[in-house]
Amino acid sequence: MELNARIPAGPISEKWDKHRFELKLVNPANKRKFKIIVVGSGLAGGSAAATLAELGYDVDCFCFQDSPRRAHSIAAQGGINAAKNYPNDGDSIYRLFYDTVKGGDYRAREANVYRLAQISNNIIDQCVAQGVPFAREYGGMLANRSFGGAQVSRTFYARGQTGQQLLLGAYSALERMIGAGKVKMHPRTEMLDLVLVDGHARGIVTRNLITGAIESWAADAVILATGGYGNVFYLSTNAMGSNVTASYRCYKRGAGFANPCFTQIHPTCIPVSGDYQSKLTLMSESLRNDGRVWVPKKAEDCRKRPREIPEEDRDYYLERKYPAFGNLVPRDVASRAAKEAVDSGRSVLAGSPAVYLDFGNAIRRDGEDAIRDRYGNLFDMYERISGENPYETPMRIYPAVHYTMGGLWVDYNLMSTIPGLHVLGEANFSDHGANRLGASALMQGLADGYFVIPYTIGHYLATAKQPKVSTDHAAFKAAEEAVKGRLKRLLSVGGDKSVDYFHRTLGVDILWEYCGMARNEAGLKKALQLIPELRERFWKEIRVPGSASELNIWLEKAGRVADFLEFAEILCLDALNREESCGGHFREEHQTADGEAKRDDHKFAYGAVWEYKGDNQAPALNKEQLSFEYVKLATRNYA
Amino acid sequence: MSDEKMKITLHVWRQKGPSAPGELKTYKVDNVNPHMSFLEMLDVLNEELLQKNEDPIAFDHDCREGICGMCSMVVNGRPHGPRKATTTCQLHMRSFKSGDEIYIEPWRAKAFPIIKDLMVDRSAFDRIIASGGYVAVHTGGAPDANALPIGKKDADEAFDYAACIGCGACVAACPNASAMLFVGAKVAHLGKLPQGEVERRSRVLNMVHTMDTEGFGACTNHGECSASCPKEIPLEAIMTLNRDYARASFSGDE
Amino acid sequence: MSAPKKTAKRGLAGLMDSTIGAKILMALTGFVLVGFVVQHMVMNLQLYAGPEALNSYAHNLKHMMGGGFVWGGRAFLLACIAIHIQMAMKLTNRNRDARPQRYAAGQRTQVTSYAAQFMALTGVVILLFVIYHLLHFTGGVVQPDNFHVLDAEGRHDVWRMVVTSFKDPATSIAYIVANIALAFHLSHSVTSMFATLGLQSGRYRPILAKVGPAIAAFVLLGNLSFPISVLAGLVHI
Ligand SMILES: Cc1cc2nc3c(=O)[nH]c(=O)nc-3n(C[C@H](O)[C@H](O)[C@H](O)COP(=O)(O)OP(=O)(O)OC[C@H]3O[C@@H](n4cnc5c(N)ncnc54)[C@H](O)[C@@H]3O)c2cc1C
Ligand code: HEM
Ligand code: HEM
Ligand code: SF4
Ligand code: F3S
Ligand code: FES
Repeated sequence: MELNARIPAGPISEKWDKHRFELKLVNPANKRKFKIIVVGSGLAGGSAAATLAELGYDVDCFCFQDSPRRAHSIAAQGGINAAKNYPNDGDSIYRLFYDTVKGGDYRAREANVYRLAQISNNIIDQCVAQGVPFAREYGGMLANRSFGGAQVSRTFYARGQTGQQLLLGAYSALERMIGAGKVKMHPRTEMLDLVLVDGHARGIVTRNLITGAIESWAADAVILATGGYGNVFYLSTNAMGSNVTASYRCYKRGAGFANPCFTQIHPTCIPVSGDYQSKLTLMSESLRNDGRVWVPKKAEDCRKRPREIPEEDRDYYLERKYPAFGNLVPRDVASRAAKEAVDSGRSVLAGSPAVYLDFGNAIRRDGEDAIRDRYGNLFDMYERISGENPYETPMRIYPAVHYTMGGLWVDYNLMSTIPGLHVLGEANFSDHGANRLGASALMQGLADGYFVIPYTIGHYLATAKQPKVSTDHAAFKAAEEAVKGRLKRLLSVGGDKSVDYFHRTLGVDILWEYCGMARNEAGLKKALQLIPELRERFWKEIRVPGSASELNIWLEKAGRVADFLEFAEILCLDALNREESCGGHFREEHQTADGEAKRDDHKFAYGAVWEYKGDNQAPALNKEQLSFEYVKLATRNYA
Repeated sequence: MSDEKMKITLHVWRQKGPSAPGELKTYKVDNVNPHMSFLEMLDVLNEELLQKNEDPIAFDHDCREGICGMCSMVVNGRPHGPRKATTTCQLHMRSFKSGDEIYIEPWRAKAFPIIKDLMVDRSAFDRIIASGGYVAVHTGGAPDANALPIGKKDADEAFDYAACIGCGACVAACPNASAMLFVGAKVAHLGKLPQGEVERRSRVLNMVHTMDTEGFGACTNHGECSASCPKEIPLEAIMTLNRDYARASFSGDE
Repeated sequence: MSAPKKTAKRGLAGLMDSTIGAKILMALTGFVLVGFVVQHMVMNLQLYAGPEALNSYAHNLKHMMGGGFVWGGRAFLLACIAIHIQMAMKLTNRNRDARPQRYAAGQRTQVTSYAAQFMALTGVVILLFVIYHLLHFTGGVVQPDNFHVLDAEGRHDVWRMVVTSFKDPATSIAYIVANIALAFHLSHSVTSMFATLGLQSGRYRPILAKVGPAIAAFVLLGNLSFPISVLAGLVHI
C-alpha cells in the first residue's frame, strides 16, 4: 500500500495557498457532467454536498436517517474553535495549529492541522452569513469562551447546541440545492458497499431502509462522510445508528484504516444505570469549570448520602493529583483518574461505576441563580435522565466513549488509498492525532466540507480522466450480489440470540473491558481471542426475523454489528501494536512513575495504517512516518 | 426514588405499511425499571417479541438525547408523552406508575403518511425548508463574521426559534394537523437576523405555499403545538409568520 | 440558478390561494361581523328606554338616505357573511382532511378551549339563528302577528314586537341558546382574529387573550338580558 500524503512543499503557512494554485481546475461548463456521490449529511457531508452543488457538480447525497438534518453532528454541544482572536487574548492561526498538534499528542500531520487552523476563520464567517445564531455580547459582537482547557478564548458557541445550529446551517444550504434540483437526496438509505472500477471508486451499493431494495449508484467520485465508529463499544455518546459499516466496507475494498485504536473517552457522562441501557449521554465539559470531582476517601462511605460525608472524608482526587489544573485537566487525564478512583473500590453508584461532580461549593459561593444561569439546561437534562436534582445532590458522572480519532487514511487532498474515494469529517483520521481537543471536530468537519474538498476533488476529476461507467457494469452487479448474499446469510442463521446481545457483549464485555480507558498486552491479547469467538457465535446463534425486502430493523442492526465484530479486531490489533501511551490510547505498561502517559516518539511517531488482506488473514500494517518541523515534541504535563 | 419493577400494559398502534389497515395491539411488559427511558422500555419489548418470533415494533429514533428530532410517538394522546419540554427519548418510566395502561400511536397527519407502526414520513418538512428556509449564500466570500453586529437580544431570540428540532410534534398535537409552528419558527429565526432580511418576503411566500401544497391544515390558533413542542417554540413564531405573510402578499416588489 | 422551482403567487390571488390568506379574509370579515353584533346589542339596549326610543331609532335608521343606508349595510354584511362562511367551510374541510385518521386513544389537549374546538358548530348554529331571526324580526314570517303592529305614530312597533315575542318561552329559549353559541364563537374568534393578523404579539399577547372572552361576555350579557327581562316581567307592555 502506497502512503503518499502529498504534502505540498514550502513553508507551512504557504502550503495550502500554493497547493490551491497548483490544483487542476474543472471547466465550469463541465462540472455538471461530473456526478459525485456524498455519503453522509452531517457537518462534513452536508457542507460538502451543498458546496459542490453550488459549484455546479451533479450530487447524490445519502444518509440513513429520515432527513439530512438529523445526522449525528446535531448532538455536539460545546462549540467550535477558530483562530479569530476576537477577544485579543493572543490567539493566532499558529497558536491554534500548535495547540491542536500538541493536544493530539504529536500524532497528527502538521500540514493538515495548519490548514485546518487557517480555514477555521472562514468557517465562522460562512456560518454567520447563513444565519447561525452564535452567542453574542451586548455590543453585538460574537462571544467566545475558553473550552477544554485552552488558554485562550477561541470557542464560538450557540448555547449548548452548537452542533445543532451549525448542522442546520449546512442543512439549509443543502436543502437550497435540493430545491434547486442540484442535489438529489436519498434519506433512509444505507450504504453497504463501495464499487471499484479499474481501481477507482466509482459508486456505491445501498439498501433502501423502507423497501429493502438493493440499488447501485455510479459516479465519477465518491465522498465518504459517515462519522465515527464509537458505537463499536455499544455504549457511547453516539447516536443509535452511528456505525462503521461504510468505512469498513471501504477498508475491505482496499482503503487503509489509520489508527483505529485512537478513541476518545469523555470524562463527564451520565453513568450506566442498568443492563437495558442503550446509550450514554454527555454532560458538557463546561461543567468542570464550577463542579468539583470527588469520591469518598473510605470505600465504606460510598453508600452514604453524599451530603452526609464531611469534607475531610472526601477525596477531591483531581485537585489532589493535579494542583495546577485541578478539575480542568484534559479529557483523557480526567477519565483515567475517574477509573482509578472507581477501581479502588470507591464508585458512588451501586452496581456501576460513577464519581461525584459537586456544585455545592459553587452554589454556596455564587448562589443557585448564578449556577442556574450558567448550566440550567444541563441541570435540567441531568434531572430528566437521572431523576435527581443536581442543585441538591452532586451529579454522578463517569467517562464514556465519545469520539474516534482513527478513521480511513487520507492524503492532504482528503483522498484515501483508493483513488476517487475521499473521506471527510470524523470518518477520516486526519487532524486530531491521538486525542481531539474540545470544539475541534466541528471545525474539522466543516473545513473539510466547505473549504477543502471543493478544491481537491476538482483536481482529482480533472486529472483522473476515467471513462464514464454505468451501474450495468459487472463490478456493480458483483457488489450487489455480495450485499444480497450477506443479508441472506444474516437472515438464515435462525439462532435464538438478538443482535443487541452480541453488540453488548462485544462492546461492554470485551472492548470496554480490555481496550477501554486503559489497555495492556494481556488484556488486548485476550480481546483478540474473544472477538473471533464471539464472531463465530454470532454467525451461528443470531436470530434475524423477517425478510430483506421490507423495513427490517433487526436486519439493519445485524449488518452493522457484523461489521463491528470484524472491525473490533483491527482496533485491538492496533492498540496492541502501539506500545506507547499517547492521547486517548493508554497502555498500562507505558506510564511514568506517577501514572502519566509515556509516549515513544522514537518508535511510534507514525500513523498506523491497516490494510485488508482477505478474510481470516491478518491485516498488514503500513506506516506513515510523521515529521515535526514546526511543533516541538514535548511531554504533556498537567501536574 | 424506588427501584421497584413496574408492570405496564401497552396498547401500541401496529400497521404493516402505508395502506395496510392498522390497529391497537396490547402487550404486557413486566420488569420495567423506573430508570429506563421510554424507548429502552420498547427495546425490551422488542427483544421479547423477537424471542416469540413476532414482528418488532418499528419506531424512529437516533440520538436518544432529545436533539435530533427523530423520535416521534404519541403517548397517551400527547405527542412525546406527558412531560413538558421532553422528547420521547428523554421520557423515563419513572413518569409512570406500575399498573398504568399506556397508549402509543404514530403522529397522525395526511402530510406525514405512516410508513410502518409508529414510523411516519416527515419529508414534507424538508421540502418546506428546501423552498425557502435558508439564506442564499454561496460558500466562500462571506464578510468577516463581526462585520455585522447583531444585538444580543435579537441573537438570543433568533436562537429561541432556531432551536426547533423538526420533530413534527406540533403537527401531531394540532387539532388541524397544521405545520404553522414549524414554519413560523424558521421564518422567525431568519427574520430576526439581518442576514435573513433580503429574502424575507419571498421566503415566507414560498414556504407557506409549500406548506399548503403538502396538505397540512390551517391554523385556528389552538396553541396546542407550542404546548407540545419539546423545545417550547413560542406561539409568537406563528404571529411573525402571519405578519410576514400578510406584509409580503401586499408588497409589490419581487 | 438556485431559485426555488415553485414560486408562490403574490397579491390577492396568492392570498386567496393560501390558508393564511383565507384566514386573513375570515378575520377581516369577522371583524365587520363582530362590529355589527356589538353595535346591534348596544342599540337594542334601547329596549329598556321604552317604545319611543327603540321605535324611533329603528324608524330613523330605516329611512336614512332614503333607505339606502340599510340596504347598503345589508349588502355589505351579506357579502361578509358569505365570504366568512365560504372560507370557514374551505378551511374546516381542509383541516378535517389534514388529519384523516384520528387518535385511537383520543387526543389529550392541553391549552385549547371548547370554544376553539367547536367553531364550525357554533358558526352553523349562528347561521341557522340568523336565518330564523331575519324571518322573525325582519321578514315577519315566523310570528306575523307579533310583527305587523304599528305604534301610535304609525311606525313599526319594534318594541312591542320584541317584547311580545319573548313572552313566549320557546322563542326566548331559542334566542338564549343561539346567543350562548354566539358567545362561544366570539370568545375564541375575537382573540383569534388578532392572532391571524399577527397582532397578538409580544406584550399585547396576554391582553388580547382576554379581549375575546370579554367581548363575548359583554354581548352575551346584553343579548340574554332581553328575553330574560321579558320572561321575568321586568319589561312588560
Ligand atoms: C454528544 C457529542 C458532543 C459533541 N460535542 C462536540 C463539540 O462540542 N465540539 C466539537 O467540535 N465536536 C463535538 N463532538 C464531535 C462532533 O460532533 C463529531 O465528530 C462530528 O459532528 C462528526 O461529523 P461528521 O459529519 O463527520 O459525521 P456525522 O455527523 O456523524 O454524520 C454521519 C452521516 O453519515 C451518514 N451515514 C453513516 N453511515 C452511513 C451509511 N452506512 N450509509 C449511509 N449514510 C450513512 C449518517 O446518516 C449521517 O448523515 C461531539 C460529539 C458527540 C457525540
Ligand atoms: C355560518 C356561520 C359561521 C361559521 C360556519 C363560522 C365559522 C368560523 C370558523 C370555522 C372560524 C375559524 C375559527 C378560528 O379561527 O379558530 C371562524 C372565525 C371567526 N368567526 Fe365565524 N363563523 C360563522 C359566523 C360568524 C359570525 C356571524 C360572526 C360574527 C359575529 C363570526 C365571527 C368570526 C370571527 C371574528 C372569526 C375570527 C377569524 C379569525 O380567526 O381570524 N363568525 N368562524
Ligand atoms: C336577543 C338578542 C337580539 C334581539 C333582541 C334582536 C333584535 C333585532 C330586531 C328587533 C331586529 C329588527 C330591526 C328592525 O327590523 O328594525 C333585528 C335585526 C337583525 N338582527 Fe337582531 N337581535 C338580537 C340578536 C341578534 C344576533 C345575535 C344577531 C347576529 C348574530 C342578530 C342579527 C340581526 C340582523 C342581521 C338583523 C337584520 C338587520 C337588517 O335589517 O338588515 N341579531 N334584530
Ligand atoms: S416547532 Fe417544536 S414541535 Fe414543531 S417540529 Fe419544531 S421542535 Fe418539533
Ligand atoms: S395547535 Fe394548530 S391551530 Fe395553530 S396555534 Fe398551533 S397550529
Ligand atoms: S431520538 Fe433524537 S430527539 Fe429523540
